[in-house]
Amino acid sequence: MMLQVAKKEIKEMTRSGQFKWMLGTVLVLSLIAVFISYNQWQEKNLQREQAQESARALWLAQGSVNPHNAAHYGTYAFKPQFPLSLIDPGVEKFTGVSIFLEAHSRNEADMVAAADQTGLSRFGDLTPDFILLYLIPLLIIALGFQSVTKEKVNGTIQIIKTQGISNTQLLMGKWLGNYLPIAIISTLLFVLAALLIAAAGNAFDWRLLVTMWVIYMVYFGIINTITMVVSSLASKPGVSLVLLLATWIVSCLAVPKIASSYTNEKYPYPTRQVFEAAVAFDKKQGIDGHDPWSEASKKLEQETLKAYNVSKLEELPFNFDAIRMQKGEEHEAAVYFKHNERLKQINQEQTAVYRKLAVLSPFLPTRFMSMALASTDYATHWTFSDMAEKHRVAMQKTLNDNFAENSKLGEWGYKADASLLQEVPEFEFEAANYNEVMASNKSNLFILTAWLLLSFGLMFFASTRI
Amino acid sequence: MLHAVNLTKSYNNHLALDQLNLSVEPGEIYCLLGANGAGKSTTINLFLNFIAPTSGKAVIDQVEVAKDPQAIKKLIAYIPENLVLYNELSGLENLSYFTGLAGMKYHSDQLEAFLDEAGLQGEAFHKRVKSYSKGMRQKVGVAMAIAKKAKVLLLDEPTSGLDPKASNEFSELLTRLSNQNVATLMATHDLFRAKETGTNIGIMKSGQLVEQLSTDEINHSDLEKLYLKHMNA
Amino acid sequence: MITQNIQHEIRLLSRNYWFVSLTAVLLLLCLYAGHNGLQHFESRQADLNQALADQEEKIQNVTSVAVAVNNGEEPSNAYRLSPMNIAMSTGELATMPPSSMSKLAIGQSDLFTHQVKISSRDDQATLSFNELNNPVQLLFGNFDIAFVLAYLVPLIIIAFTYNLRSQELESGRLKLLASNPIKTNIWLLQRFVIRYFSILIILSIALLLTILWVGIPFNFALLTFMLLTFAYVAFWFGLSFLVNIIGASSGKNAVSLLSLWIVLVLILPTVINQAANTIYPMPSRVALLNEIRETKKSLSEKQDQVLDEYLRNHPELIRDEGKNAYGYWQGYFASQELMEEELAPLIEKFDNQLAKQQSWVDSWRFLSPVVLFQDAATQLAGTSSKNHKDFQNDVKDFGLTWRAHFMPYVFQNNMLKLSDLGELPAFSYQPKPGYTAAYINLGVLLLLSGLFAIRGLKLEGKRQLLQVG
Repeated sequence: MMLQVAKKEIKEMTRSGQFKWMLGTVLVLSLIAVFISYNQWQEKNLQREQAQESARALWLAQGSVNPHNAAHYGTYAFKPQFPLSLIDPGVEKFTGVSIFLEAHSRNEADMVAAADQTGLSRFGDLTPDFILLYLIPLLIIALGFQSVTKEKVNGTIQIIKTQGISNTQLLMGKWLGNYLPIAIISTLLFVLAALLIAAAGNAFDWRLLVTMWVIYMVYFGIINTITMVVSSLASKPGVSLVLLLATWIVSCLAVPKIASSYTNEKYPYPTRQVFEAAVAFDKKQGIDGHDPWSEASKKLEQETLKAYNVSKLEELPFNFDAIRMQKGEEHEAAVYFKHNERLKQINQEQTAVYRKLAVLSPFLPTRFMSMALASTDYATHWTFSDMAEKHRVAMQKTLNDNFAENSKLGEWGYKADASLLQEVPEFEFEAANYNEVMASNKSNLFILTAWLLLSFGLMFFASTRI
Repeated sequence: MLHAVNLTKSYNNHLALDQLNLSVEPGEIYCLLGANGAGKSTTINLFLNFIAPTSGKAVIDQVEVAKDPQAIKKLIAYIPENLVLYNELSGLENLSYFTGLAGMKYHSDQLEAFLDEAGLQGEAFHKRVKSYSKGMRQKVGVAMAIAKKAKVLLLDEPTSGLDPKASNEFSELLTRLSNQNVATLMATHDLFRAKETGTNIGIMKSGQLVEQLSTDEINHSDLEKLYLKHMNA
Repeated sequence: MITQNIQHEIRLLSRNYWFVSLTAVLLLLCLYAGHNGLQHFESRQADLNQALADQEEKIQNVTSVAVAVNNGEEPSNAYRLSPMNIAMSTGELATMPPSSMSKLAIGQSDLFTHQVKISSRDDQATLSFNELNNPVQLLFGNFDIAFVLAYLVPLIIIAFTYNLRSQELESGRLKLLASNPIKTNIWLLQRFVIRYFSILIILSIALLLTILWVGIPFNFALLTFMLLTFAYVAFWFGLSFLVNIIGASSGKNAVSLLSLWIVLVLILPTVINQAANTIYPMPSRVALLNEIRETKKSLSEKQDQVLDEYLRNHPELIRDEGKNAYGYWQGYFASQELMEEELAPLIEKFDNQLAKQQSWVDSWRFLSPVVLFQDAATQLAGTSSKNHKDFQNDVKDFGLTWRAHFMPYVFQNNMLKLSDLGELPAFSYQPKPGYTAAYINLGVLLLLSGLFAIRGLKLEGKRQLLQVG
């Protein structure tokens, strides 16, 4: 009986010009979004591959070089583009993609795409995630807002009721009838994206894609259920539409923006200026590898001489200049670590607020889950930044150790063998794997499930009120 | 006063009204009888210029309706089957608004007099229309016609859905208005009322006027027989 | 008829909760959005003051050394008066102070930094203007007045007007109205105009209260902003009027108007943006980085040549002390300038491409009222991309001036004196208010709403009053 209802709903939908137009428009927009994204995605893949290769080539081309000069020359860590960013580019536009790795400083990721675009970029991009997160919910509402109210207004509900179908069955049938076309369209979108990713020769964990698909299906399910609830409770189609639209605006536009404004007010980041000044201040408190006259340097000198039981730096079995630089490097790394941990602390507080506010809108947990699964969320960016720093610290140590072991004090003209450059490995970045993503997004999963259950609960309540 | 001359209306090859000729003079109440879709409402709508005739013409007071609709609308009053007013306004306020749109200006005591004349109870004047019964709303409609000093009254099944008492009151109002030389054209299903209130009767079928007679010429049961004869033919 | 209608609308509006709830909702939205704008403004201001104070302290330190030297002392930190130290470590702080109008539209100001330390150590090519921020916040955007006006107010208008005609049609009242000697389309237009002014009054009150609360001086920019808002509201009323006349039923009107909202507000801006990025793609920034490094490397390999070439271009800097008069720093600055020259065409590519994107967006903005509104509003608030681009270009230009100022000291091997400190170039950002763009956008919005009204009126006669069938 439920299927009977669903069939009638779909039949009505396919016969209405207005609905055909809407479905068609969304389908066309989806295709455009996928293909444009695909082109840009491939272009970026290529750019990054080339840049990575040429950065490595430049690094190796230094040949026989003084290790510290090589450290200053530096190299780049590139964040790879993950396959699923085709579907959800997440915050990629606002985070940089490369970090310059050099002696003495931890640099921020640079080359923020949004900075290279007009102000219009803040309206969003026509990407698959935009369609999935914003447009399809609207489509669900447009298709379903008068699902029950129309029957009430037309009086057909009275006839249906006398046919012996229960209200729950009727609502479930209507739910299904509204959900199926949406599910088919969005599944097509996913299949298409998956095919394109696979065709481009990118290996990826299928569980990520399947889970992302499930998350969106749940998201649509929640919205569909809310649509049915409002349609059942509202007395007129107009009222139902206004209520649903208000719900959409609040969930998809207002709550995220409120969350963003609220967290920014509550837990603001320092400005870059302040952050850098604080780092510079702390750096000055310890050893500067290039300043042998500072107090900290003198202290290190005394300690080292004592430890090796010699009276002059020249008598040490290694180049003390390099040791001082390494100690300076370690001090600086510690300073950067401390300040970035502080930043991370703020970020965690912000994230906690976002997660709490996710209770207000099914959009938020979906948004966060989707980005996390696509490895385009802020957490991935932090991991990238931390990994790059780790890589930088290790790189400095390799270079300074070589300098210390193979040269004498004051021998600034020393040149290491070209093979030293090979000893510094290429930077590799792996995003969190499937299990890690799921583990770190438990609260999002939980809230999404709660939304699903709650909305279905509401629907059963609504079925008693038709 | 009111003339249909070969009045014809077709929608996509379907003849809704076929060469209709009729006239209603001041003081007459012309009742159009017929099944649903016979062309009664189409006739009324043509006189109101809500739709344009395919051929022929509707004439009110020697003016062709389609040629100068604004002029004839000053003469006519219209009461549909279900007169919907602004629910949040009182009967008086509704009357005031609509007569204002008709270009008339009245004081509220004058408006009250019209409502009173139309038979509305005094305590209802200032109540919101959402609490009105259908009969009360129809009375406001009649008050509008009175206030407008309409010379022509176009009624589209005004008594359907009214209880017998309200229906009776409405008929009495009509008679009183026609005594003031108003020409009335009314589409109705109610044979009994048509015989009681009307001066002339026209029976329509498939867009054609198949029978015209004066109510004086026929009694109730013969009218019913005649009507059924046409319907079954 | 107009007086009848005004009285009538006032009666209708005062008899249900629409008006009261609408006022309350708008007021709450505006106040909350105003709060966010104010918050953003204040934190920007505080950051700015902090940065200015820090910079002031640096200058004080240098000045005290200069005073000591001037008094004939020989302080141990006299090196601070070296041109390198002042050009690089002390530097100059370039700031873009927030305008009080930015409380209304945060725009791009959360993406870019507003205080840049100008130091001759930085490469112009890699100068970063990005602020430290949580990208999730950038992704979601801000709940500011501009958002309320651009996104939410149109929906309120739609809810307020979508069935003004169809409701009359569906209830049959339209026939009753049409049996009177009036033109129903003019009657409808009057109702729209009356409702337009009622919304305008509520909105103005809500905005004025917010403006008084957050403290924005009443000036031309604010007046323009208000007029822009009125024009934007007029656009949506015009559109709704037209849809009301064409539309057959309330349900269809609502769906049509919302579809229009979705297309005009949600989809078109992203399509225009996406098209701009696709037609004028940015060259690869990562490739640029490698280019810069290669150039640097090749320049450092031929350091002597570099200095010779530089001095050929700047004969005024030559000292007649022979070839060995120049050390590391002279070479450093020489190669910096040469590098900029070599990289200029590459950098220009980016700027050109962005300029092309901007002009593409500028010419297609007429497609979407929300783009027109946002563009004008952010320009009035001084937070548009254009404003930030202006600031960034000023900073880059100033960077060159700043460095050039020190070159005579560097090449003459002179320290700066107390008197020299007073003559350092100072940065100041002159905001260029986009009144022209604002009035063009405003005019277009008004023109469109006028066209909608005229089109709607012309449809009279063609439209049947009755739902046939």
